[in-house]
Amino acid sequence: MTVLRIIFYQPFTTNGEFMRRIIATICLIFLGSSSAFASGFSIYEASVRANGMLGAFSAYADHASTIFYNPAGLGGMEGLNISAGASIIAPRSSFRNRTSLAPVGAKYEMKDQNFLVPNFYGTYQITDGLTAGLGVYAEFGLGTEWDDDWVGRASSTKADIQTITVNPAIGYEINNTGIGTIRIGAGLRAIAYGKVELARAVTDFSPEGSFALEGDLKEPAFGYNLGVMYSPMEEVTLGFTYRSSIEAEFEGDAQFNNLTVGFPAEAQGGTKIEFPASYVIALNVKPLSNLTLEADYLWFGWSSYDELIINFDRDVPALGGRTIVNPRNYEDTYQIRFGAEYGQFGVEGLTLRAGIGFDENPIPERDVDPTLPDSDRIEFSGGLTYAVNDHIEIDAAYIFIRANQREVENTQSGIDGVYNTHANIPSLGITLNY
Amino acid sequence: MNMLFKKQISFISALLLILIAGCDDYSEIDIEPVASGDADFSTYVAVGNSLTAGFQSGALYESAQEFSYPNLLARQFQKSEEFSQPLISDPGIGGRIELTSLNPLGTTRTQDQGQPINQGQKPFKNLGVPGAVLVDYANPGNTGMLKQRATDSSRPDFNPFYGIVLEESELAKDAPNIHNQVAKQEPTFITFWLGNNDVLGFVTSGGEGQGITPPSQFTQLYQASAQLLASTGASVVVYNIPDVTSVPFVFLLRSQLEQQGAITFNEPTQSYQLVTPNGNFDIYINVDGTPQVMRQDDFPLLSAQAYFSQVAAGNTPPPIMPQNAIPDELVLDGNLATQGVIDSELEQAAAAVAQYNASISNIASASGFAMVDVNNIFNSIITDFQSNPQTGGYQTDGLTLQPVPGSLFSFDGIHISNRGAAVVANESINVINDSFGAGVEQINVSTIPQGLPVAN
Repeated sequence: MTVLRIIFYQPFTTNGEFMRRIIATICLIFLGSSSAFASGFSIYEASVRANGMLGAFSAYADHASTIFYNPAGLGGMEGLNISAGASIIAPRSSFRNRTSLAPVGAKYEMKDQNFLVPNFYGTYQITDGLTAGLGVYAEFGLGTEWDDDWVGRASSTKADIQTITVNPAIGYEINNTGIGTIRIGAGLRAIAYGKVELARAVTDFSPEGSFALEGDLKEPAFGYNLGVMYSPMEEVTLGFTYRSSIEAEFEGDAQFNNLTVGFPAEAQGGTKIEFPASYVIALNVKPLSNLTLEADYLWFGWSSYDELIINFDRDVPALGGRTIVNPRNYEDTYQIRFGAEYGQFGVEGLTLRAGIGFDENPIPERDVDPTLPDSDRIEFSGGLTYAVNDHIEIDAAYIFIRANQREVENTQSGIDGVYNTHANIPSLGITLNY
Repeated sequence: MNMLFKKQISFISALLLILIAGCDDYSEIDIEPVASGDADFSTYVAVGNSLTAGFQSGALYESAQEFSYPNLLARQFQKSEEFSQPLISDPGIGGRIELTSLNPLGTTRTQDQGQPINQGQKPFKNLGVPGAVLVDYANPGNTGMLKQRATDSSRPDFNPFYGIVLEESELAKDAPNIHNQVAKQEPTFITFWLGNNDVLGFVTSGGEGQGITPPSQFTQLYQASAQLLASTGASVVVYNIPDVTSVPFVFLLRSQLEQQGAITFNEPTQSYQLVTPNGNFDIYINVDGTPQVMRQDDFPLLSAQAYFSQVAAGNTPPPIMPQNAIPDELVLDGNLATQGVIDSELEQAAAAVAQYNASISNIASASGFAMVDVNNIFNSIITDFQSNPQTGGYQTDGLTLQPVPGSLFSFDGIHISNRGAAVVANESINVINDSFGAGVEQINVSTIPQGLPVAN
């Protein structure tokens, strides 16, 4: 029995076969768990004026932000128009645990973050019917952050993506067609600034470590937008616009914190993200001279986002290589948005707006994880414009988004539970017309 | 005009504030209670040894205790907040085996020690004591010398874990035992897994070598324990005893060497032989200073792997001459020096395990206890693995867990890992659901982090 006792005191030492087994085990750390920025990271709040109508704006050609919503709206826009504004996006999420990693029902709150999302538009009429413009806005972005010790930390503690799109565009109006007015437009969309930040814990070691990637946009990434509007009569406009996908590459420092075995002290990491294409079909009608109604159908090609690959510039022994592949498996989605605008009702210079919308989320149940606990949403908006004088208008809007409570089971990340998400988006802006 | 404008702005601001404050989260959701069937999980107490305590990689430490099978069970019972364990800060007590490098693979035994964290929460719901033997549960008249082993640090078989797990007032008694700590908590549900150390002779506690508890005595002690367990009125689940050789520290290297063709078992001589270009030669092992031929019951331990590498590299003379026998500490020799080949200690141990398990099974069914057949589960896993070393093992939740360190077992090759504990918990849940008509949910083993200890 004296020999048996040695079992207790003698650490095993190994080589060859055994090492491969261990490494193969560790390799699973990243393969098994999905992560990164999730997908419903489209931001449709690109203009305070449009926010009031919940973005049902792609057949509405009365504001400089038509550059984003449908560049055809530039056609026939007169004079010089400038619009600037900002939205505060304040999402709030909670998670109730259904995993075996913490008490059932334990509640975790996503850290409160408020994102200031600015927008700027300028248009100038070059000749009769031909107007050029420039838009600057953030069309894709996301930020989620959870406590370092929360139950889903191995999936995500932070996911942050920021982009700024610069969108020069031009529009032309054809009046004398005989069948009504046709406007066409096109623009170049350049993602000029971008930042990606991802962090999560690595719980397959004790003590736990963490992994973080901070990447900046490597070079400007380009796409385009096209649009057409058709007004068979003055009170009715049909709109269609298409925004291409844009593939952007991000590069930066990868950090392996408290991971002393199997990871380099530092590394460079990079990833490519294909921001999805989208199109909008819109109908705008004016049943009364002071009432405008619009309905928009939007489609987003999220299925292009099927996996996220992170490449490192050197071998990471614990990964058995230099690549992490995260399946994402997003699906194409649609949104329906309704907006109304009501003016000239007795209060001098005041216009009111409201909207309601339904937004389908792109993430299959199996792929939901805490980087973006997305869910189908119902959205409400209200807004107003106050014309200070003939040239200056103050715009304000407010959007509330309620995501359906989402209970997920058998997820790839293993973080099963119940998510609740809502967001408040107040916005304020100014419009100048000359 | 200016005034009006300011009024508008303040009106809008006020409106926004109201809206932001008003649109808050949904109220709390209801969590469906666990379907407990005939069982009542409201007060769950776990009794056992190091396996129950959550001991891993040579130490008892918090980040492994979090994944002890009783704690995992308590989570599935939705009782984890009430389920207290005697936590010890990482890297724990015992000397944790930690990874130092991946390529080449290296491990070390840390000198660092953790500290007990929550001694104020006694009595604990997890009463697993590393090193505990069956007699500790009832300890009639202190026949098991539990008091001395728990309190006299000058003794070679002193075990500090009793003092960490059990209340001081209990150890102050003349004949302390674990049962008093159980009964005091008025449990409604008990898991009971003792007896492993009765055949391993305090292996896991590092205690001085004591013989195998004689099966007749084991049966008596188990009977006494069962009566005490039954007296609590709780529903009881007991676990039987895995075979001594069903831990990778014992079985793995020999089977690997055989698979690689480095050694072979020679039927005519009933001995293990080293395969060389010049033929096969009997392997010598050192048993208490005497070279002997390696036989069926002799197991080169996992720690002998480096030794065999050196032999293969020609740096160490092959163990085919008595003077070059494999060092004593690298082999678990089956032979007792005073007894014949066929009466080896391992054979005795195997026979004892069989008799223990027969008693456990009989007593459990006579007492109305449910039983988890760990012996059978472990044997099936190891048989599956040995018949197919590449893909064999325990399949669950898209994983194949193999009975090797770093997978089902922790780095010490003896104690189960986080995921090994999840497997034990799931097997327990199967038995609980069957026996009590309960509907406890299974654990998704793939979500349980591996928690491989690393040196910093």
